Amino acid sequence: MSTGQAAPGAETPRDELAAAAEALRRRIEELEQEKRDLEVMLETATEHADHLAADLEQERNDLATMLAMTTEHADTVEDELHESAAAALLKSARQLRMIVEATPAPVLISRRADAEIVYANTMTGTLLGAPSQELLGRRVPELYFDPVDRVPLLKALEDQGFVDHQEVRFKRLDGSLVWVDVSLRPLDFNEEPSILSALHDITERKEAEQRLQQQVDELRLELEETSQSSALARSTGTTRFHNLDAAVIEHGSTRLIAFHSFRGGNGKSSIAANVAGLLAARGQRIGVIDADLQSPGMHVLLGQAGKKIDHTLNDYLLGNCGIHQLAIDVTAGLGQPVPGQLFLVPASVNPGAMAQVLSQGYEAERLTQSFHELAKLLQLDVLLIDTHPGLNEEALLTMRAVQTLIVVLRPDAQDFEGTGVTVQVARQLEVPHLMLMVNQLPATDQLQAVRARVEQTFNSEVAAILPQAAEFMTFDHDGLFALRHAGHPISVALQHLSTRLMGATAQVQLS
Amino acid sequence: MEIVHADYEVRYDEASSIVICKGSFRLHGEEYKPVLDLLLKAADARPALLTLDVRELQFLNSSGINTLSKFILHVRNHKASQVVVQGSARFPWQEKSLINLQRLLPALKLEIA
Repeated sequence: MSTGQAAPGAETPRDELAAAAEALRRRIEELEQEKRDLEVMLETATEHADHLAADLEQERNDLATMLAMTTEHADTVEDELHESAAAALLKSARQLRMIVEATPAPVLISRRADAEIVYANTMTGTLLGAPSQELLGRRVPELYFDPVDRVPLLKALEDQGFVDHQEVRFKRLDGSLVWVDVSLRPLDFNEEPSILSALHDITERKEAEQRLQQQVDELRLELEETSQSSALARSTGTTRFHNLDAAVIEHGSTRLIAFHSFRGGNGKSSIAANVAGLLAARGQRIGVIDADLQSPGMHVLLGQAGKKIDHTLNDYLLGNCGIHQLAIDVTAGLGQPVPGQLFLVPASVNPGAMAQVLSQGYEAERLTQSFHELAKLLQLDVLLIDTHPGLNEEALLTMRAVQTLIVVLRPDAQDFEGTGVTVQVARQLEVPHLMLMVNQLPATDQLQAVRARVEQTFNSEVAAILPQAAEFMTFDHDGLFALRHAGHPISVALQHLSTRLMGATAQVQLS
Repeated sequence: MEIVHADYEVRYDEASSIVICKGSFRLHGEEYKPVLDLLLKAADARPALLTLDVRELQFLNSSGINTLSKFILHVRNHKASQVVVQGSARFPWQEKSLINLQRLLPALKLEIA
């Protein structure tokens, strides 16, 4: 064996070297593969990243587009809304002007900050005696007769947010006085805080009230002067009417009750007729005088329409007939048999006779004289007097002569105001028993609330409240409603009133 | 499918692939989700022609136009439907805003009558 040869089974250095080289070669191949893989992965990752970036870019662009779209849309809609709001405001202002201009009442608008008048309708110009344009630029205090009167109104407006129906003195541009009923409301006008003033000329009413007050004072004076030596005419017993033609009343038990109202058409006569019928149904002897000379109607209600009437109250007042010729027994025409008796003294429906008594006038005391003469002549238990609405001399004389005055009103603002004046006058005339009666109460109104309001407003007893019922206000030719429909709520209320009247008048008699 | 509200309504007629929007859309944010769901459902049906009829849509607030945008993007991503939007010149906002939907989907066809 040669020295350089390796023993069998043993690796020579050459083999080792070759093995190492082989190992290195494989390692190199692995590394190269890894390198290639990494390059592929890098390339893949890069491409993926590019895709992602492209997607993100797209999304970013989409979002930017959506944002721009949304903003533009918001601007568009905002503009539209603004324009439509401005148009609505303009339309609203135009409508307000149209409404106010067409309103048959004076209306003006003033700026709250400096009270300058910024709008006045034609009626305001008419009220204040100048074209409405001339009022613009003036300040509201200039319109007040005494500017101090405006202070409490502004305070009330501040406190409660509105002012209703306050009576104040204004002055026309020529300086003359004009009474107005003023209502105030806060209002934004031309985007400025303003006050809307609605006015109502009440000068005539105020002057009428003053005239009325004067008449009442004069009447009171007359009555006081003439009653010093004798008792006043007060219906029953042997009272002497020193103040009214010294009529002597010898009949001792008749109760005098007047039905009155400030305005016509509120059912006063229908109520009076039905109460008369109900009292006759209680066996009483009842007389009814139609003292509504300007618009008589009691004869119709008591079944005498179209029948020949020989003498009327007009004839008596003019001295053309005696009291014994006046009364008509209408008991048979009531629609139901009654145990009592009902007599009517009608007023004339003849235009000539109506005009004559109204134009020529008559001795006023003959009216109250007729009450007592009739009571005595017919031996009446109760005499009902249906007066002409409003406050006139006959009404005042009637109030002074009766024991009980029933003032009928509807639950509305006009009747409330007029009734207030009537009640005031009745109190000054010292009517012994004053009652209020509400008619035509709408179904929507609460009865107790209305009763409380009326009693509180007038500080008087509410004798009855009748609901609104067309069947009652519609004339029925077949007799009195309360007798024919005894179970109807209105009939029941009138029954209670009749009972109350008997009690009330008896009470007065005792006192 | 339909959503009916006192102020607005959305109806999707699958047979004709028409979505009709009416009334006034005054919803806020998430309140539009039911409306968007209905619109996406219409898009997911991938009809060849998909019509969005807003001729009686009087008012659309910002969230509403955003909802319509999402619907258009959804359709675009499907690359399956031609979209036609029908509007009305009676409501000025439609002429100004609907055309912007073409910025998201240039192939969108807008018909303002």
